Amino acid sequence: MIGQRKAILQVNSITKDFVRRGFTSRAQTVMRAVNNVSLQLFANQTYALVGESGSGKSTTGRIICALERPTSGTVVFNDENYTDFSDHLLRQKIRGNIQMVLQDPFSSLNPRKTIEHAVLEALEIQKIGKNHSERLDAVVDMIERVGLSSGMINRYPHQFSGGQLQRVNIARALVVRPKILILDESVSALDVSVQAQVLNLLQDLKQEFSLSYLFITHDLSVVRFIADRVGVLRKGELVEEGTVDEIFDHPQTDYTQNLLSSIPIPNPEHRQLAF
Amino acid sequence: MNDSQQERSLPASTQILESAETSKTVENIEHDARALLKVNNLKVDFSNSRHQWTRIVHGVSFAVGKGEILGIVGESGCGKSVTAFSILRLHERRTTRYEGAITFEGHDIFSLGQKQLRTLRGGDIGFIFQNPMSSLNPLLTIGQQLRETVRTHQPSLSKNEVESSCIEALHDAGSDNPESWMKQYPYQFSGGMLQRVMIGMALINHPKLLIADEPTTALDVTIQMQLLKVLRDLRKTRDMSIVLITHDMGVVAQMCDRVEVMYQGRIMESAPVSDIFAHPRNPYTQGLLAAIPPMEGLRPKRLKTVSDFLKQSGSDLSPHGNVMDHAAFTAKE
Repeated sequence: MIGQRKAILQVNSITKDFVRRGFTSRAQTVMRAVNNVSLQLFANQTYALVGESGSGKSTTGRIICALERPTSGTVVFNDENYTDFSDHLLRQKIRGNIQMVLQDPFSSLNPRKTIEHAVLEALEIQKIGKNHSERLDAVVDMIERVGLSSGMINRYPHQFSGGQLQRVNIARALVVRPKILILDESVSALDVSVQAQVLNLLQDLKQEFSLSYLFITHDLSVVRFIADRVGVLRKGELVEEGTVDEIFDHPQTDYTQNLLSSIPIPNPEHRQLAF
Repeated sequence: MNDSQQERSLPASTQILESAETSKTVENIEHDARALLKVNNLKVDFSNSRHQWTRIVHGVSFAVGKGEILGIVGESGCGKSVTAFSILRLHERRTTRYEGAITFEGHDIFSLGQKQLRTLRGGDIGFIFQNPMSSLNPLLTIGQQLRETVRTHQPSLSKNEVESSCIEALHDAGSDNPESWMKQYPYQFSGGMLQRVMIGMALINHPKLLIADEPTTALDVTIQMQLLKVLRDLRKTRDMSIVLITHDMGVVAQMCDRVEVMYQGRIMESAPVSDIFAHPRNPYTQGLLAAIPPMEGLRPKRLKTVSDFLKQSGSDLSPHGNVMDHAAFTAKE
């Protein structure tokens, strides 16, 4: 079914090496963070990238968002290979289409600027809207769509809770109307009840704007709720990939099985550890 | 939708339920002579730089029996860590006010002097914090830091005895090579290994009670499972009581015997772990459980949230005594 549709984003065997030079000597150590990873993202679909810390899932996300260039391999959006684009070309063709929301909602925003400023700036950089008042309308509209009230736009980040701030970050990413949203542990720092609200919001927005999500997380219960396809990363390599049902019901590798069986199940009748 | 309005609301019906439950708990504690730790109507106030006092914990009561694992669960800002820190009076003295009583083995914690408190801290009561990286001195080896803990509490031990009790503690905390760990520095360890060191350090003087404040929150799930197993084994082999503070209902279900659900500085529900999950009585507990994406069965289109349950129970959505909320709500709407 998926094979017949056309992918809007293709990641073709990307590898990323980080080179560390010694403080005094010229000796180099190479850390291979991502090793030959390929994946495809389809329109209106959520792809979850899971793995333990240090497995390379964030680096993969950063490469797709063109914040990092791969050592080898290509990233293609809408038939256009943007791996070697200049900053100018990236801003023109990619930044408006691929946006990112990070884990910590507080440190993602400038504490000295109002949230109106934060969201408006994205429109100004992308040169969307004819004039200031048109842009302002777009900001207010987006703030309301993520479930905040328009009266809040003159507030500063410290006047919001974590869940509200993550809504602001989502609004800022979506205001330029991207096709792809990369969510790098975006709900991991939130309390479970707030997390549920933000996950529901993400599901609604995905339909409304026909978005594709790349959902990077270590929390497999969230993956089961939100994702269509799942890729399991381990030490920079994609060890397993499949639909949510395939991964959760029939995990093929020991690593995935171990990952799944390590989630503490919220049911005291099913204790995973022998007493 | 307004997050903080929904998050912080406290239904009137819940309050009534809660006060009735509190008095019942207190009664149980009075009768439970075997309880190792009793916390009775604990209230904690913090002051800011202008000497304005804010109540953080509003009368919390619970007891921990010998060999029992008690879970204190709640979302950020509910006062679970403040309650745990109060057990050892770890809050800054000048800016904290306590009311109520905490007794450990019959000793009133609030009437102890600083010297007696120090023998309790790291002696009969061990403490594990969330972030192992910031709990250890980066300039000293693991061995130096462990030996210091033993010598402080058991000055009569010989050099060899100190060494062997360090190695035994590390071994019990799940270290495969305690001898070489002793010679290494914190930067040489991963987060999971460091948390094992912290558990070892808490165990070293054979505490009767271990307070673990989000001990696995910063760790990967596979490492978390290993450490939870270590804690469960320790309870068995050392007959130790554990107060486990967490926001993860999965960890609670796997680990605890009894659970206290906290919200806005109050205990919402207190019950054996099987009751909490099978028949949560309080709307807040119900919401907390429903908000977890399920790992088995049908995948829901939408998740229920705590506010759905609080609305059902007829709550008013007014903010409730929280400093951060006041900032958000007094700002011009």
